[in-house]
Amino acid sequence: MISRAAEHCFWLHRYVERAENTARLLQVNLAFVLDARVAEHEQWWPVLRALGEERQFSDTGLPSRVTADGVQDFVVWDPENPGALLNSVHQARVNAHAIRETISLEMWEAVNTLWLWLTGDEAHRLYHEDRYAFYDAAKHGCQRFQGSLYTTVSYDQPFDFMRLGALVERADQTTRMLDTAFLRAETGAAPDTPLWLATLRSCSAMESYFKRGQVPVSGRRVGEFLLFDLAFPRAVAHCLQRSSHFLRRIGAGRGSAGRPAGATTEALLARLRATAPGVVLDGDKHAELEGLLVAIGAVADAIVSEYFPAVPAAASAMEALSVDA
Amino acid sequence: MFDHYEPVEPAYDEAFAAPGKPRGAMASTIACFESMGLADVRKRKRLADQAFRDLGVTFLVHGDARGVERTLPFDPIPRVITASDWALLERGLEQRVRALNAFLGDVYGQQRILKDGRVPRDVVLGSGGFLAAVHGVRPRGGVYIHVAGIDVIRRPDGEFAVLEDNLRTPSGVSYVLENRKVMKRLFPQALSRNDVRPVDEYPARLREALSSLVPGGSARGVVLTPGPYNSAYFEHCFLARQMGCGLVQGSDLAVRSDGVFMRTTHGLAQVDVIYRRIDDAFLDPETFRADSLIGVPGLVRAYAAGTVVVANGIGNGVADDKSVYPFVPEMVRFYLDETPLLRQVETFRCGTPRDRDYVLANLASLVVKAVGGAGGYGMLVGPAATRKERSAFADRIRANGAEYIAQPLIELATCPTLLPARVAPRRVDLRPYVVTGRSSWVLPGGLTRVAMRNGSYVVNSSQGGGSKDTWVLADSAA
Repeated sequence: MISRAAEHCFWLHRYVERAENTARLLQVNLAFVLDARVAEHEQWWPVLRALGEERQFSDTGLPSRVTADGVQDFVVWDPENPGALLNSVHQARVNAHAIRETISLEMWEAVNTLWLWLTGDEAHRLYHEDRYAFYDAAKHGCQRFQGSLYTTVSYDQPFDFMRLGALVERADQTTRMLDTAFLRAETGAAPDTPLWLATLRSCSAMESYFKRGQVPVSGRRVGEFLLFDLAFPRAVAHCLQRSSHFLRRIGAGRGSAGRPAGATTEALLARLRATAPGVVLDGDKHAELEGLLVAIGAVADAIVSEYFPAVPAAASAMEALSVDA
Repeated sequence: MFDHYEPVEPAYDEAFAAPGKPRGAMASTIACFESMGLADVRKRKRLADQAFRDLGVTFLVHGDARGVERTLPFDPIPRVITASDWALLERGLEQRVRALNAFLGDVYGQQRILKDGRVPRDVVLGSGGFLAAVHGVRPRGGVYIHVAGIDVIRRPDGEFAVLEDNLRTPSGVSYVLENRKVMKRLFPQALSRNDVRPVDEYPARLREALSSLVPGGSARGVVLTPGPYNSAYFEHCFLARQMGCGLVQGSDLAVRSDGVFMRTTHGLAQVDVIYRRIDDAFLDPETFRADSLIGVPGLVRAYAAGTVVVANGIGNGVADDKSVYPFVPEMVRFYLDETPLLRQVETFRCGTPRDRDYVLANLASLVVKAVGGAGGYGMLVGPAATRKERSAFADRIRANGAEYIAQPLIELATCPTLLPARVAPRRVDLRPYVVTGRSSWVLPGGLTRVAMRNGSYVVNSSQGGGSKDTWVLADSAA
């Protein structure tokens, strides 16, 4: 397929994925803070950290805004925040608009109606009247896109590049989420069990986790699940394995030597799988997880430079965020 | 709904022969809308507007800082054309495109028509649309006009006449298909009472026509767009999707040893057909405007080498030039040895002293258009203009007559149109589409454009015009 179109595919789904994760994280935190009787600041800064938007937020020069509404307004609406939900959906639409003939009509409608809804009166009304329902509606908008992706286009290159964008974003988000949760646990600012339950929920992982029978809930167990599980869609190992699958399919017929992005991904997956969970989760967790974030970033870079050699304009907003790892 | 509907004399009304007397072909539709009632029709019209927004059926309006996405105002009351009226129009259009195509082959070949003095040499060679760079190039199959959008109007006597030929990158066909889609959804009862010919085979027909010009048949086609900021970007996407072609921008294509290739994730892949929606001037910076960033360097070389079908042909602008238009009936006689089936509008060329004097003396009753203008920009509607506007235009005509043509103001036909509180007559034109590969096919339908403002004759979307679905009835319903 045309390289430029492939690039738009990658960023389109990556932004939708980010939008969905943002909505879920905010929704989960909304409920979690009712269990965590700590200062408002302690309740909401972790959201900024998990989304990699701490620096953008402090740049606004209003540290006093680390309040429930201050953070949510920033993360959902602030035009100065490149990672804001509004901006993610806008970028998704811009990328979708550039490849309307590549994606299906139903996918385009999903993105377009999400954008029209988010910029219309109804979304603002809901945001003020029923915050929980607002996040639900935002998630549903993203899921409508994902559903139509699976049911309305052929499983060939455009599909593969879209999935890659989502998987890379997911691996990145899960890693950040975990890192932030450990930090929260260390500062003792949140009660342990509710914190790990909330972390699982933020990755929509609670049911899958319990089906594995990993009780009692602990940071060590949740970390192991979210990093190493191969079957759970938001676990880092799963994301890497699927990425490697799609990269192999895209480069069909070429060995890994002819596919630098595929080789980078496979190497990272192999390294992760050869690592004993204790090495990551019992030692210097933050150094390990930051190392993992950098490695995931390298996978994204390898995909970009192998398949979309020109400077990706669409990526700028996302790149502005990634320096915060 | 239609109780107080009064056609505007002396215009032809598409729906009513006289107040309270619907034309036969429209009767069941009028009755159907009448039974729904104004409130219900207006509610459905709002749903239709919403559907267009959700689908993203938009065009970009220039003049704003970055352009604004708008939907084309949609009027739900269809325009109905009988099978017999359509048959006449269809034959006339097919004939006209055949003659214009022969003209292009001649102008870029032996120039017999100039040698015979049937068309003045300076009109043709002096036209901004004549491109010397492609003189001597014969495109695949000899086809220049793969897609023609011929604007026609209905005269007060009910006969169709050609107002303008669009032979370069005529747009609007996506609205024809989308309007029908929305009508099916919101006014199924009206459609089901009529035997309306379907329009949705257009993209498949276009693909077929273009592929038929490629030997071997298995053609890789692309739609070449200037990009998302072009006003017709929606349509480029729409056609690419429906034709199963890639949508490319200039930078996605490269010319290597006279072949055109696209840059893919797996390297370069050769392209056989380019349905381009970029103007000639921007198509190839090696040949035309060197500052074009949206073109493909070397594309004209590849076109000349015959390795690729470029649709529409390069240099077609000479045939739809407004100052060449008066000579089209002559082309029909000269190349086809046939009698022109379609009438056209009397046209004065301000480049000739006699016509210029006439135009200057009669500005108040004429419509003056810039030869290179399009989209309703830079024109003067004499009867509607102020004295000051007319005198400013007169100065321009005196200074540069060859740049202008003038036509009498035609009483465009009217069609019942839904307004906030009532239904009233509004002016309409019609753009049918002719697709040509090895043979020609006329889309049974077309874009009916409506001047939404009372008394306005300007139907262009860039000037606030809207559109309505156009129903061509099948033979059985004639």
